[in-house]
Formats: sequence, structure tokens, C-alpha cells
Amino acid sequence: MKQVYKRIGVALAGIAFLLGCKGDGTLLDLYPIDPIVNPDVGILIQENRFMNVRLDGRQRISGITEKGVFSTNDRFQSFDFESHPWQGVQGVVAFGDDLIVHAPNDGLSFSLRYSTDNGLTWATYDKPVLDEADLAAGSVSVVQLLVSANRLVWLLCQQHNGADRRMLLYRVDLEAESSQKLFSKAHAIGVDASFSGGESGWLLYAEQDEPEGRIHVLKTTDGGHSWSEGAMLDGVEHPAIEPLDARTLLVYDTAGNVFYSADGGVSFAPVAIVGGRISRCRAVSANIVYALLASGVAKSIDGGRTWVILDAEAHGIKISGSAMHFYNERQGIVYGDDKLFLTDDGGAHWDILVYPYDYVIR
Amino acid sequence: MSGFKMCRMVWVGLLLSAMTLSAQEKLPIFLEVEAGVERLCSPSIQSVFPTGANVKMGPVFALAEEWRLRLRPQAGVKLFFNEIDEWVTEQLLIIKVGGQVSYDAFYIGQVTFFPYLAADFNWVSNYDAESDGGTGEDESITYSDSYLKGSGFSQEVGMRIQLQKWYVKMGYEFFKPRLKARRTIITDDLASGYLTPKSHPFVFNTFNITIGATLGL
Repeated sequence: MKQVYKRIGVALAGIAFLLGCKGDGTLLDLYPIDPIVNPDVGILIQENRFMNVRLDGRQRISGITEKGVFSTNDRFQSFDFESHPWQGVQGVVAFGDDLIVHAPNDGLSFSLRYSTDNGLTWATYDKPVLDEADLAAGSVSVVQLLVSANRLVWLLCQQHNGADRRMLLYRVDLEAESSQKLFSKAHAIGVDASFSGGESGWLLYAEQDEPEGRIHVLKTTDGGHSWSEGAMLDGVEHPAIEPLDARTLLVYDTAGNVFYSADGGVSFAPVAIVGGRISRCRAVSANIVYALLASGVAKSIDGGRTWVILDAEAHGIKISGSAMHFYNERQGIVYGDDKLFLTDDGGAHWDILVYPYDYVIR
Repeated sequence: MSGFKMCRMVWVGLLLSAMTLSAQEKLPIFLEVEAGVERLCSPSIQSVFPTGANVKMGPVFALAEEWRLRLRPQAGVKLFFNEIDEWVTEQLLIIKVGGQVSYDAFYIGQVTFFPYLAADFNWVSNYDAESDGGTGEDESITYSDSYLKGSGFSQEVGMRIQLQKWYVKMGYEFFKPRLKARRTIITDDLASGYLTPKSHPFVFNTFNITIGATLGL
């Protein structure tokens, strides 16, 4: 039977070869195939990287890359990109609503400048932030910048005077062109600061003479004018604060530890997220909190007390990144230097909008 | 009921009725064997497979007044070729089973004209055949797994021109099967950042010219 088939095949091949059978391409080339992401997004990530990205609406995404600004109204099916080198390479940067603040080092101190057009143009805050006494006490660098409503900027600073350290907190009102030193603590190393609304806020610091990994919590309820000692946490690495409301907050660290406080930071209870390193926590509302893990995403729907690891995957790619932004409780983005994912349903399903596939990086 | 099962039932029904009639009326039964060339009509597919060939055969039951109606259960293959390089040829294999009805419409001299209709169920497979470079009986050919495969019905209309036992057929076949891509192709595409549908319809309409012979049984 095999011989018969072979002979029939040879006969048919003979007929076809007499007529010529050198084709162009293959049949598989005619099978439809669609790129998952727009190949043109390579301009955003090839020798470039995302700096800050926002989901501004259900379809609209805008942001800044190292080499320009972009926006899309159709999830990168098409997008605008305006080439403009990022000028905030050195120093600390914070992004707020329609405001970018940059604090580059300037000798023994720092300068402060801001942009209201996505970094295309910059204005310098030319009033002194530090007074003469602060400057005389040693060099000051910015640890963290925070941007809140009404163009209020908070600067958590660190002063070095030989081996001695001092933590400083300033508030700058860019509208009123005024600044104020709100807090100063000797022998303290500022770690992180965050505010919920305009009045409630928290500071994390380490005492310079205490063992590594011990963190103290400070709280304010009057916009930073007065501070009181809160809890002390041990065994944390590079912690950060995520406030949920005026009394509730999470403190998480890069080792995967999460601590929950419902009394404004006076006491904390450990919370388990089985997922390893946490790079970012974002409270979208008082109840809904997302945590960006080393690989994957976790979600809490009870204000951070319990967590579930989401099955966060799109087309075989695990959702990962270094930052996230949510438009509402269900719609948000996760992005890294060269990738961007979007969910419309609270993390149950994800789309890949930017990813360094070979056809993107050409 | 699947399309293939329906086709098989119709085929068996035709065969049985023809054999019954043949037995009752002592109608003649012939055997037809034919081979020809195929030309795909879709320009994009034709650019891949410029030519193909076919072989078909089946018993013919002559019916009606003066045996002018011919029923032919048939089976056959079509094979299209695309020379990738000296050793590798992409092939599109279509295996067919179905039936053909023709009618002795008129004649001019000794030449008889048979318009015909055919319907077949087809299995389609697209793969590579690689030769080891040998010739004749020493040639060994290895076949790849199918890149695409599927099945579907085809219909054909045409004219058969018969002179004694020899005939020439010219026909046009309508065939639009839905082919499925191999699973590994879909997963490899996905890993490369492409979405590939599980199946896709192809238009394999063909024009064919065939030479055959009607043999007595």
C-alpha cells in the first residue's frame, strides 16, 4: 500500500514538476497572525524607558519616558510621542497631578524645580527652602519628595554632619512661593513619609545608633506641624507607607513584610502576603489595595487585612513591573521600564499594551 | 449528524440503488480512472502552489434511458507542490471521497459531451516532504508533521468530452475548508508575541483539466 501511495505521489509530482512548482512563501504565511502589541511602541522602550505613566481614563494613557512624553486615547493602537530628553536624571523626582517636582543636589544643599507640562519646561523655585542655620549644620540631601493637592510639596531630607545625622521635613507651597520647616529630629535617618489628605501623615525613620532593621513611626494629624511617636517595627528592610485613610495605613518592605494599623500607626499587626518581595503597594480606595510583587500582583478587598495573589498573566506573560496606577477600583496599569499591562476588571484579566517582543525591539 | 456521515450515507445509498438497478436491469458497470492537473484560483494561494495534480477513480453505473445518466462513487487525491529548495517540497494533500453525476447531453460525430456535477468530502493536510537526495527506489522521503489540516465539502461542475473509451474533463471545483494550525505553531507564535487563531478558512477553488479512461468491468 505504501508503494502504491508512493507511486501515485511520484506520478503527481512528475506532472506538477513538468508544469513548474516553485512557489512564493508557504501556505502558513497566509495564515492570519496578529501582533499582541503595536510594533510602533518600540519607540517608547528601545533605548528608552518609562519614567511615569498614568491611566487617565478608560482608554487614555499618558506618561513620560526618558526621551519624551506620550499619550494614547486607544490603548496604544495609536499614540502621540513628543521627543524631549528627560532632565531629571540626577536627584529625587516626584510626580503628582499635573505637576512634576525635581530636587537635584546642588553643592551642600539641593535646588527645587517643577514642571506643569510633563517635563517639557521647568520652573525653578528660587526662594530658599533651607534657612542659614540648617545650612550651617551640614549638607542636606532630599530623601523623598511628595506632591499633594494645591501644589504643596513635602521634602523629607537628611542632614549629614560628620557621622551625625538629622532628619528634616519641609513643606513648600509652590503657589504661594513659601516654605516651612515642619519637623526636625536629631540622630534620625528619614526613610519614608506619606500623607492621607492634607492633615494626617506618617514618617518612618531609623535611629542612627539602633540596630539595622528597626523602624520608628511618627504621626501627625495637623498637617505636619506636630508629630507624635507611634509604633516601632523590627526586622524590616527599606519600608514604605501606604495610607488608606486618616487612621488606617500599611507599612510594607522589600522583604515582603506587611504591617497593618487601624489606629493611625500607634500599633501594627503583621499581615501575610505569600508572594515574596513587594515593590509597591497602592490603595485605590479605603478597601481596595493592590500590591506589586516581584512577579505577580496581590489584592486586598478589606483594606489590607487579608490578601489574595491574583492569577495575573496575559498571553503567557506574568504581570510584573515597578509601578502601577489605577484610574478606579477596577481599571489600572502596571508598568516597568519596558512593559505595560492593563486590567479592566480589578486584576482578574490583563492585557499587554507594551512589551519588548522581538518585533518591537528592532 | 456530521457532514461526513451524511456524505457517506448518500454515497452508500447511491451505490446500493445503482447496484440494485444494475442487478435488476443488467445495467453496465464501468471503471473510470483519471489523472490531471490543477490550478488554484486564489492568487495568493496560487503564488504558493503554482500547480497541482489529481488522480481519481471509481465505478460508474449507467442508468436511465440509453444509459445516459452516469453515477460514479469516487475516491481520489489532489496534491499541490511548492519547491522550497532542492530537497524540501511543501505539499498540500487533499484526499477526497464522494460522488459524481454526469449526463450524456449530446454528441457530435463520435464525440460525446457529458456535463457533470460532483460533491466530495475532503481531508486536507499541509506539510513538508524532504528527500534524502536519492533517486528512484533508493530515494527516501521524510514528512513533517502537518502545519495545517482540516476538512470540508467541495462541489465541482464541468464538462466531460468522451471519444470511445478516452475522455477529457474540464471542471471548476468550489472548496473552502477551515484549516487548523498545529498547536505548537500557535504556542510558538504566542511566545513571540503574536496571536494566531485556532483555525482559518482558505479558498481552494481550482480549475482542473483531466484525462481519463472508461474501462469495462
